Amino acid sequence: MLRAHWLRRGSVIRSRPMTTRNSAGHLGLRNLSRAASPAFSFIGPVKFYKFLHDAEDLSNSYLLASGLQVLRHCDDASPSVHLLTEAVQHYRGIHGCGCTSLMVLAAAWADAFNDCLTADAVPVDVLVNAALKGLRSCKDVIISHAIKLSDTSLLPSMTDPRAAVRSEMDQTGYTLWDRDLYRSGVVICKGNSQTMALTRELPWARNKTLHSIAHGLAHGDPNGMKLAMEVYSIQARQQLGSSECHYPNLNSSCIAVKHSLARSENESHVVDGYIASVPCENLPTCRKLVGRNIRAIMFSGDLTPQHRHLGFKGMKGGIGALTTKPSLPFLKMKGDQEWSMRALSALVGLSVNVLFVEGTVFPSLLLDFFHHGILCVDRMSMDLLHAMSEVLSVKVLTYVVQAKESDVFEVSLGFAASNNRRCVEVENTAQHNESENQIDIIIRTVQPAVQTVVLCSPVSVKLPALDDAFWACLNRLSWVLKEGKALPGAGITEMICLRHLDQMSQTLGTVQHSNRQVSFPKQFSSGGHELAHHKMVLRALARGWRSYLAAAVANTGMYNGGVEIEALIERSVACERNEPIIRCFSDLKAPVFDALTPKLEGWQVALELVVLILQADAEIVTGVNARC
Amino acid sequence: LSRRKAALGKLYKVARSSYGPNGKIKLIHNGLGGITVASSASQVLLPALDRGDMLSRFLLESARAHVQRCSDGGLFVLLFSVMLVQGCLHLGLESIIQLCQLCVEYLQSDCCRCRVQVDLSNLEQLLSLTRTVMMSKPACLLTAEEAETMTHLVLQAFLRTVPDGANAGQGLGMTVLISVLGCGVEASRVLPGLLVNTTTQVDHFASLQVPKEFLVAVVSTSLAGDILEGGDEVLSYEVPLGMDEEQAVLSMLFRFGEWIVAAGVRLMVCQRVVHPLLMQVLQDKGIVVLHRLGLEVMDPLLRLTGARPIGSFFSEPESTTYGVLRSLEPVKIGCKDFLLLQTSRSVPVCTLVLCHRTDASLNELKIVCKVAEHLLQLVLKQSYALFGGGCTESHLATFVRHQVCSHLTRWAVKVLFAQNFASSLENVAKSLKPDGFLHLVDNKYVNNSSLMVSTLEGLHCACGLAVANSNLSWCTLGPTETERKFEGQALPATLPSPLLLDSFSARINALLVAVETASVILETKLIIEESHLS
Repeated sequence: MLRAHWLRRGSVIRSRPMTTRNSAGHLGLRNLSRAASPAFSFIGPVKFYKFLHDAEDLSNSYLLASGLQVLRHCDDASPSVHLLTEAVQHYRGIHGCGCTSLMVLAAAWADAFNDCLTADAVPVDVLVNAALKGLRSCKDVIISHAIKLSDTSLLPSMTDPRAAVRSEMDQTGYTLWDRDLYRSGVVICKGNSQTMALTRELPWARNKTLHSIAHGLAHGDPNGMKLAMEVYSIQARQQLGSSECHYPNLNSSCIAVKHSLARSENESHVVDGYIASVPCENLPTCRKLVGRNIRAIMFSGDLTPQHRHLGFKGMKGGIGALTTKPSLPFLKMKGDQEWSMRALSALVGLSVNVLFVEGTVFPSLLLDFFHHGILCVDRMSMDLLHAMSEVLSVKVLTYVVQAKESDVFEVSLGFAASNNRRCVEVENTAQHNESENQIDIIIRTVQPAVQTVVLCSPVSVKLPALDDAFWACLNRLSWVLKEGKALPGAGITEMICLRHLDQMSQTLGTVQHSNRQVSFPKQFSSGGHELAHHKMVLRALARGWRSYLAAAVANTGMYNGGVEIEALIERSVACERNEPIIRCFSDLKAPVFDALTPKLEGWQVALELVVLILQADAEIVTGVNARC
Repeated sequence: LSRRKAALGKLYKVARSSYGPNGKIKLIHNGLGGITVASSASQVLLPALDRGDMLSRFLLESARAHVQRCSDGGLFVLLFSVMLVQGCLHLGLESIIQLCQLCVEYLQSDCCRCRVQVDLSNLEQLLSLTRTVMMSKPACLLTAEEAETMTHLVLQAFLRTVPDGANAGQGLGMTVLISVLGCGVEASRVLPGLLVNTTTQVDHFASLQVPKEFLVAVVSTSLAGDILEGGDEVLSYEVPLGMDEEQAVLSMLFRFGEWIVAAGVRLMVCQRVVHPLLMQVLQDKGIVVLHRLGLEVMDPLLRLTGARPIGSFFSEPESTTYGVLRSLEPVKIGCKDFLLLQTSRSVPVCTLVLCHRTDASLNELKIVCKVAEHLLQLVLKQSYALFGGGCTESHLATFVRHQVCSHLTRWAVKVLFAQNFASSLENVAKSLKPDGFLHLVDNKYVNNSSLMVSTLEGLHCACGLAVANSNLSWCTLGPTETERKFEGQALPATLPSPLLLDSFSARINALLVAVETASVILETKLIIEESHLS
């Protein structure tokens, strides 16, 4: 069980040295390693969740399923943990996956370099230079091992697409392409009957490369990857004309995630469209709008008479309004009601049926909408509105007065039947959400602008974990599609690095440092020891990767104990072929892949963080405290 | 007295451990929470080291003042002052100032042998100066190749701001620093023109057609439809009956928009917010509107376009207030979108884009680039540079010892003071390397070197001047029983490169400030503190 680290209160220490003279070594590196150590149980295809509970209040408990959640709940106030949290958050914002690997590598390298400093007494500047150079050359080697998606050698030679899919299903027993799914991937628009997919073939759907790579990117979460592939199939169906080897990009900003409690996790599904929860009172309006092509418009901010755009500071004092006839009193408008009338007339004039609003709507305007049969979806996320505006080339408006014909777009509406796995439009069966008195409706646009992923689980505390896992799968897939390249996974890249580091160590002595320093006069610091130190640093770098591999293999449960795992790693490194070593029982034969840029960037960020903290020798705490 | 020493001892420890490229980084954060900053730069450390003690605060304040003037050498000021204070505490102080003047006169005289002529024609020296600055902060996490690339970029950006012969009277241009978090350092670049953040989609601009040269209106007031306070004056407008203030202002905004369209302007840039209705009207007429740019962008923008800022929307802007631009290109760096504004005339405005993976390193890189730019500007004023790496300090120390010991009659300075002064200088030079190093001085140029093992073969001095294998003999840095000869040779005509160079003005100023601060501290006999009793 993970206990919460309590903040040390009371004494603000002015400056605290980090290099203590005991055998434990650098305080900053130790803090980093300690804070990131719970993440070791989350890497690999098999994850062991952790429970976090408050020691005093047992009703406050959380399920930790990923490295970022560990950091969020970590109360350690030391600066190395701050830096780690910041680095992980930035990395996640850009890449969206691989945060746990980053933390694990940072912890492993922190331990290894700590030993280098204390036991081997390597000078800091040698350590920094050697580590950064070592990683750089490993990254160059890994890039050359990347697999291209357009590699036609992986394409099947069969001509019948359904036979290809069936054979793949028979071989692996893995129903990534459920037949119904295949069908529903092409038919959504109302009006098209559900004809068989053969008439609207997706060129890339035949491509076995994509299936196998997506399956390989799942990393032990086939459900999450299935959902991601469904989202992709919806998004990509518009781009039918492209060639077989070109994969359209996966846009992750137009995906909304909805959590719902259901009987089992297998009920998670993807809906083409946005699932909105509207109050029950709108049921008659919805019934009238179902099945027709209706018009919609989007607004940012609130739809109230007081709302002004961002940056509007309001009229300050010192301004007097003079009238032309000073004897008459200044006429005040019945501001709000006037505004309501004008807004309504503008919207009715454009025959708008549905409004998407980021904020709230004025109550009397809502009443007017109800009378006129206009549906209003409020409290939408701005990111979704932007995504829709981008795909549909429609502006998000600030004021009602701006509305023009070009800002209106077509949508279709349906009810979401939450019992049914595949959400098709069902008339007259509205599923009431009794606890909140709301109904769920699906709004679809002509081009797939928004997709909603409904994550289901019988246990509510697991939903955030499923959410994180889904986004990790999606972002990995998205990166692979964007770059057109994937890396071999299951520990192969780490073993290539280990082999390369071994080679570098051996050739270090023989090759004179011809490119030692580009243009800088170098001091003779330690003479002959420098070579030995360099080798020690490379060994420490390798140690980090070894710890990472050992943790991932240990989590799979396929081997007994540390000694066997170490022997496995040594064997695999010594062997010349690239054999995957992180396997789990359920998935022994399928190839595993990984995304290129997130992996390499994760390594770089982890190492730079460790090197930064390594070079720190004191912590300065600013702030006010009379007692010192 | 002992209190003074103890008070300054902590500052000394912090400064000494952060000094130079081998210094250690300090992690600074607020006790109540907040971000953690990792840095060894004086710009960051000095404000964070605010202690309650009066003497320390005085010292920190003078160091900060020096850093504001010259950007480099804040930690040098701290170190040198504290060492002078601790060394001369029992001795009295009149001669410290004299010794300092002696050093400064020597440095500024023509026979000085530790300074180098640097001017804009000598690219190698400028590169050396810049490189010394870039490599001086370990928190930037730059490998040797990255440091070299960044040096070239910074120098390139600086040279672009130097106006060419035709516009020589204008003064230096500007380099705008833009930082992008998330890419590696190799994505850094220098772009001619101005790079501006865009809040709207970049593709939108790619589709707009702008002619070869188009007019730009730069508005510095808020076009959001509100009226800011008039201050003491009462602003009064006439409003037709039945109209409220906001409508009135909006109609004035539309009128302003019409003037802009009529003038043929294709790009309108506003420092503050533009009302969405006005923006829509202008965009429908084919004008690109950029808003919320902020104050920092205004100066370079005005310089680049040659426009005058439009401060109010009540009256029609004259045609001379508009500027001219050549092109508007979308640029994507990492995950961020920017717009590049370029002009066809040669205006000394350019943008330096800095990229790094971690926040701490990026901030440090920004500081280092600003310092480098400032030092290069100082070179334009006084075109000399001193040898870095502690060589100048050892040179001066030996010079002082030699002068005072050999010309005792001329200088009414006690030998002891001189020894202290010189030892303090040498200690500063020794602080560049961690403890355990052996420090030597060569006989030819009296520059220092430091090493750990006993082999003297292939040894060269820290700044690179005294090259190995050229008939050098070395002796230890520090006081010797016998007088050391200070003959030294004149500097060779062609200097070996690369060298480590420090800024001339910055170092001299640092020396003066340190000495003055130390003398004030030594002179202080009584501290009166006003406490607020409430």
